[in-house]
Amino acid sequence: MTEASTPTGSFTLGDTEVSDTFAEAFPMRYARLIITAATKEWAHEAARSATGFATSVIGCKCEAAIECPLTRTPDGRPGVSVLLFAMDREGVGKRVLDRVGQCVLTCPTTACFDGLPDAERRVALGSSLRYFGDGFQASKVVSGERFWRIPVMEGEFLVVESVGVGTGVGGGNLVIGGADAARALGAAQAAVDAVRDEGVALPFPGGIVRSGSKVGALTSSSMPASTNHQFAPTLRAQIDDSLVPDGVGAMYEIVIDGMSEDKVREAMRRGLHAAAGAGAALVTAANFGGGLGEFHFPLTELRDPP
Amino acid sequence: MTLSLALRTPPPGRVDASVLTPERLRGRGAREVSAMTLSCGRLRLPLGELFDVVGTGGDHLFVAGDLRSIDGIGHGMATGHIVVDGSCGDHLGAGMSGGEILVDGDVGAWAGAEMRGGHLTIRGNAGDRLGGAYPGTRAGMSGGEIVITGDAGQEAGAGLRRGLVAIGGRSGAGAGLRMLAGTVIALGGVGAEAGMGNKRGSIASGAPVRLLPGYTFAVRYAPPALRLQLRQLKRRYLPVDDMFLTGQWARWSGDRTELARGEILIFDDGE
Repeated sequence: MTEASTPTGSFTLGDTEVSDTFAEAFPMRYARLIITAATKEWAHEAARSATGFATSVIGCKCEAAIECPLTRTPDGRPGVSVLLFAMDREGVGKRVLDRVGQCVLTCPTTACFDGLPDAERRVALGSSLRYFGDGFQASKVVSGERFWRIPVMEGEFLVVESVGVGTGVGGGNLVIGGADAARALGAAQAAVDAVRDEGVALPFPGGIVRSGSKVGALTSSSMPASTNHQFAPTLRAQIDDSLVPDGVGAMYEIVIDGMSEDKVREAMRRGLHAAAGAGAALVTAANFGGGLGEFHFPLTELRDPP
Repeated sequence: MTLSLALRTPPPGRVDASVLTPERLRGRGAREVSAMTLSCGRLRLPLGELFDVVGTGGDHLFVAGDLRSIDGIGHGMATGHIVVDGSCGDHLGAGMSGGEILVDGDVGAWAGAEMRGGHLTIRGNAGDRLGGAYPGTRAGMSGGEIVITGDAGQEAGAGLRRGLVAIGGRSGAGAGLRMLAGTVIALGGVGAEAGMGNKRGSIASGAPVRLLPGYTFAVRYAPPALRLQLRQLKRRYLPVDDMFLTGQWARWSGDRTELARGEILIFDDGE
């Protein structure tokens, strides 16, 4: 098991105590899908379906979330952009194909475009999905980009031949504590609202995770992850290394994946200050001792407001 | 760097100006360019006798004047930009594989014939066999895009293999003749005998068409690929009415004398 780094001190933002610690994050590969539909509701429906069961690479093989609604899309219809992260390009390719095939192709009125058209590294999408057309599929090259028209019961599903893959950062995080669960959740929700922006994805339900995990387990060598007992308030009197201070009755984590280190850092900055403004008692961050992740985001560097 | 050519004297006959491409003129000064010769029937005319030449050859070539007797501008070009101010002759951009040609005026026959890539934009009308195949050749265009704002002559996109021929006005008879694939769009409608021998190609007509018997009605729907193509065209000088983007099109499959994998889409937004 990898021990988390214990905060060495703290500073305050208003009435909020901010631990002098850091979030530890990892390089990941990601794709950005543009999903359009006849209405914004159907575009959201497809995007929500495509990003379902994608909270953590440990259990879901990818992390995905709706990035933002779009007003300008390739076909001029309402759209949503989706970010999907995996540990390598092959992982991105498999997950994109599965999810677009099962959740976007199947959804009424949708079309699927590439949100990273300039990326050099690419994974197949339409060039594989086309076989669903059973020989009746047709392609069109539009402004140098090949699309596949797959006949379906409604008409045609239009999907781009391949999507770009970028190198991003996964695992940026904030851990937000409150006097009780309601106040901690209120502060976490305020942070989520501030964090959500272009270039970042919050893969957990509503952007918030209540079951933050640590690498490995105390009781088993086969568990890849287990509850982050140091942040569990019910264990505060039971363990020697609790990170839950007096006056904190509940904690929530916001996990942030981003298209770049800077996107994650600035998202964390927005979330930290929003949580403090919404009455969080404590804001800290989860790490694995600093030895696993390539990217460290010290909370002290986020002291200045966005 | 830009090289500018302004037609000074009408030529005595048709002139083969296929030397006028950015790559063939790159690095050449006005004096050197003026000394180059052009074929005019059996004559070889110094370019400087016909044109006022200014500048040095580079990525940009500007040609101006009444160029209706000047054929082959941009023939086989692979890179760079040509702007033609005025109407020009036949074979404009034929066989081009890259780069961009913009014409402010009408063009003659065979514009973009057998082109393989690049963009050809004509703010005017085009003659016969726009983007077509030369006699004896099975395939016409195999890539690139041709956009014209006016009308096109007969057999636009004949033998089209890949690429797009978009016509803002009407196309003459025989559009998409024996096309293999690719797309011909005529917002003002296509003439008689469109899509004869069409294998896998798409023809879109913005007005009603009298179809050949080899085509069979399939459905009225909003084709997503056509919507995408029309939106892209709207960004390239072609005024596309919003009704074409949002409306319904009737899909006719054919030509049944061939594979029957082709289609003619006819704008049909009425009840």
